Amino acid sequence: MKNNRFVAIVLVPALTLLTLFVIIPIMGSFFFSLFDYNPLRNQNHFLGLGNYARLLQDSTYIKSFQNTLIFVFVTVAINIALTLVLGQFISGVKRRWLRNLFLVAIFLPCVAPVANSAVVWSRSMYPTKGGLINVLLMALDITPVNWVGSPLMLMPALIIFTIWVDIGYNTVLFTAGIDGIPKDFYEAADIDGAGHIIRFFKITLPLLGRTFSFVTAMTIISHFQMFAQFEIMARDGGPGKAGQVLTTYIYYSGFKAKDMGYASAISVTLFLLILAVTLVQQRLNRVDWGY
Amino acid sequence: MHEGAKGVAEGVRKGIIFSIVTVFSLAMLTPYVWMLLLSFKHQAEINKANTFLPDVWTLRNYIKVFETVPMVHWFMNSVMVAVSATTIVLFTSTLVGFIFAKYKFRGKNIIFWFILATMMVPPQTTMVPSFLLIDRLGLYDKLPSLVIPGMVGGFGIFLCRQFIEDIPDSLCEAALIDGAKDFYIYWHVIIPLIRPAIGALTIFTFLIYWNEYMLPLLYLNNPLNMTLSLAISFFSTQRTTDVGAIMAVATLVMLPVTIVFIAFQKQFIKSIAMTGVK
Amino acid sequence: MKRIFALLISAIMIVSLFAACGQGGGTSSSDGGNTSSSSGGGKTTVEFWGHVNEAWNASHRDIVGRFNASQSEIEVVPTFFPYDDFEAKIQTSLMAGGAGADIYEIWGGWGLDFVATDALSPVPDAVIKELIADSYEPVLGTFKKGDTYYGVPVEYNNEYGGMLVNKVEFDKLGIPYPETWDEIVNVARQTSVSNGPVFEMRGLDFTTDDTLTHTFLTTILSTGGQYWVNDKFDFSTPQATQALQMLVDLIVVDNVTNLDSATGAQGAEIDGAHFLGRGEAMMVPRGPWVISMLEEEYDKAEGVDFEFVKFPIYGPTKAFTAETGWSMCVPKNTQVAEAAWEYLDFFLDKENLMEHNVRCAQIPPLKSIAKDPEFAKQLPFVVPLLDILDAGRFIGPFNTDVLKIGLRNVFVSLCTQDGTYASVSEALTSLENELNTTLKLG
Repeated sequence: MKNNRFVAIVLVPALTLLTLFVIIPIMGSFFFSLFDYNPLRNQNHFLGLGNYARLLQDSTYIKSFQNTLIFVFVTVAINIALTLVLGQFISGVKRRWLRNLFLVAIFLPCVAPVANSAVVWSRSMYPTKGGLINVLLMALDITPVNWVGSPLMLMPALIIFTIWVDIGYNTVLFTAGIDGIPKDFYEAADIDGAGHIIRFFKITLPLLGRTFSFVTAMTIISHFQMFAQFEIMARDGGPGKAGQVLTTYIYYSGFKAKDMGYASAISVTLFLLILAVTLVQQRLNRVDWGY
Repeated sequence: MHEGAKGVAEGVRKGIIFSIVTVFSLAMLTPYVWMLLLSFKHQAEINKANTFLPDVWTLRNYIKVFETVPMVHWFMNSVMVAVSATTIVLFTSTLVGFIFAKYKFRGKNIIFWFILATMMVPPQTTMVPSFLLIDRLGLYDKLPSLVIPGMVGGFGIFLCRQFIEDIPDSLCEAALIDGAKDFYIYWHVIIPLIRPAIGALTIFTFLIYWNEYMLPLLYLNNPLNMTLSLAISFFSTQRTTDVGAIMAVATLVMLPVTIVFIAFQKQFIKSIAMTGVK
Repeated sequence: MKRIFALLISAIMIVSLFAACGQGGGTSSSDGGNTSSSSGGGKTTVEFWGHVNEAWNASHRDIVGRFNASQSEIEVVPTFFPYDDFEAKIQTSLMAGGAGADIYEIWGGWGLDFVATDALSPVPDAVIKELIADSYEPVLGTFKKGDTYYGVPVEYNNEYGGMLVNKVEFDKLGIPYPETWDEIVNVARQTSVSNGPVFEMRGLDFTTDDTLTHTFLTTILSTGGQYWVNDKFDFSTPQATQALQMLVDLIVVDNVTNLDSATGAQGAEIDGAHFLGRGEAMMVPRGPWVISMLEEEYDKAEGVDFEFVKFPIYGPTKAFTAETGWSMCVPKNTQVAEAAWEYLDFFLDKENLMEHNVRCAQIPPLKSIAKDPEFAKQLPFVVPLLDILDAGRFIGPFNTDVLKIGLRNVFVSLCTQDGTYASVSEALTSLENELNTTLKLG
């Protein structure tokens, strides 16, 4: 159809809003990153690329950068592998009510605020004393683990929590995706005598192609953005800054250290990082956004 | 003989898979069960940390929560934000999706890419300028500050475009020949045909706004203006040691959406499955 | 058709407007006076923001109530925020001109960040002259820029010099409270009981940010060192290395407690005072203000379950560090500065301030109150601290949170031997560099 006026009436306000609330702020981040910026001061000094030069020397920044990458790649890899297997398993459950029951249990954490669940875990699952995980470990005569209080275990603790809180969506999507694969493919494979694992890699995965790359792309982007659990479980970055990631370091620099220019410089690098990873991922997976 | 063995093996395999999934699902629920149990325990019992079920069940924690923080008020704030945001996002996503699915115009691909690209800008990277912008617009410490910035979103547009493209052009053209105008077609032809997608987008959008943590943390100030997702950190930093009461808050925060979810689980799951790419 | 569209658009506008108004009208019962200087009835509303602490807030509310009743022109409205978000709230509300408070309770440790901007208004001459003459050195330190002062003190924040002792346990053991450094370490070593990361009894819990930082700095000073030279941190002295080594050894060698108070292993900022409240610690060096917390949250009584006694200074030089404590500031953008100062004048009145200090178990910022026998009578357990107040040294003009977090991270790394630093002196060099970088740009 064609009606330029109608198209304009719809698109102009929509694009204006997007420009106002997405494009202008990201340009604002670029702009502020060039200053020693604090809105409470009457004068703010122009630093040029000074804030970026400082990033390279800031060990906390380097640590947050590494932590972010480790967190995203490990968590997403486990998340995708786990949800694929779960999807495969649940898709094999024939009784409707039963499979819904499984999906409800797995999806439940997705309907509660992440901040809420993060507090639940940090106050009732992870504490060395009285935390359920350690209570169970001690019942089995295993030395309790200091989850959120040791530099070594904090990141694993955050990863475990994030997987728990976030596998719901992907499990549902993969279960539906696997359900959608026509049964004749498997019957053909049966005749060839292919095992389950071979069938999974030769049939399920390739036929899941679009769902797979879509889910991976969305999961990666969303994991770069995670904030609440770090802010709650890793106060000020946690012991040894083992839980400091870029999002929380932006918040800390901007609103606690009140160094908004520096916070903006960190923001810009996070933005570029997400952009780069998304582009690489799309190249690898050839995500077809349809057009 | 051979067939029978295979059947047994298949049965065993199914049994193992079934048990794995069952155990896993129970493990998923454990933190919530534990949260519930703690919320009914006395503080002294929690400090001792030597019981699983409460020795003495108490409602003290819940009473304390309602005495100290305005839970109902926060709940209403969350409802207002999530409902109004979802309504607006539904409207803009379907309308813009319709434009991209059914209209020909210059620069269409570039504009669509532009919209998709905005999805790659996470709000965390624009914390500082967004805050200043919200303040200049006079929205600071007001609930609309959570709604207005997200009124148009890439994901919803992308999803709706996909679904609307599947509607045969002939339907629209037939309506056009009958003299229907563009908005009429959108409202009376397109919308009824993409109900499932609308349902999916509703749930998806609602949950995003319901669970949002960072923006309310930044944009809202007065405790009375806060949303439910801030309740837990507000309460737990205020009464650091009172684990029982903290678990009561956590339970109350979860309760409303959990009830809705369990009551409509079938539709929920089906809708969520639809937000994936077909 | 076009009409329907226009209708829908306007409907959305109305809905969002409605939401905005609904918010403005429906929930702003307590922020009615934020933007307008005077609300209905001709009274000037003064917004006062503080942080949540139940005992303290009750005292603030009472004094505000008395002030509001004492005259008919000004209405002070207090609101209290959880401490964790409070600093960021002050920052954002000051940025959002006009949506914040008219009086802020600001912590001296990070108050410098606000003093350095143009956001606060100077203390009127009449008020400050009296204060300067009567106050201890540390209590105004942060709020002085040039010859101008930007805040008035509520307390003398004293995190060094006193400790909580578990009376019940000491009575059980039948031993007196240790007094010298060596005695304390000995008793702590003998009474600690642990199973891996779970401590049943902590002999001496000192790893809370406040205690760790002040013990470290005070030990440097008392052994003849300096940590603040030419407006920069200097941790290159042998005294600094020795002080930190000693603290690390208390954990690694003597095992008198673990890092839970520093790392939040219980999932929150639960520190030594809380462990003592649960009966899981013997000795906890801490400021006296935690006493009201123990009484409030754990139902423990001073003199019955625990006592507050002297905590010795390590070295021969009698000096300890103190931060500028909680103070009151008036922002520049307030419309009601005069009314705000009128309230603060009332609050700083000797009688009111003493009452507040007593109820909050704070050391008074003013000599005239601290030396008043009436104060010692009302708050007998702080007496051990009152003799040493003159030895307090202002910690220095920097954001103490940055120091505390930095020191905490270095300390945790050293104690867990995670391989970040080969030695204590290497860790201190790294800490010094990190802290001085933030200074340059601050």
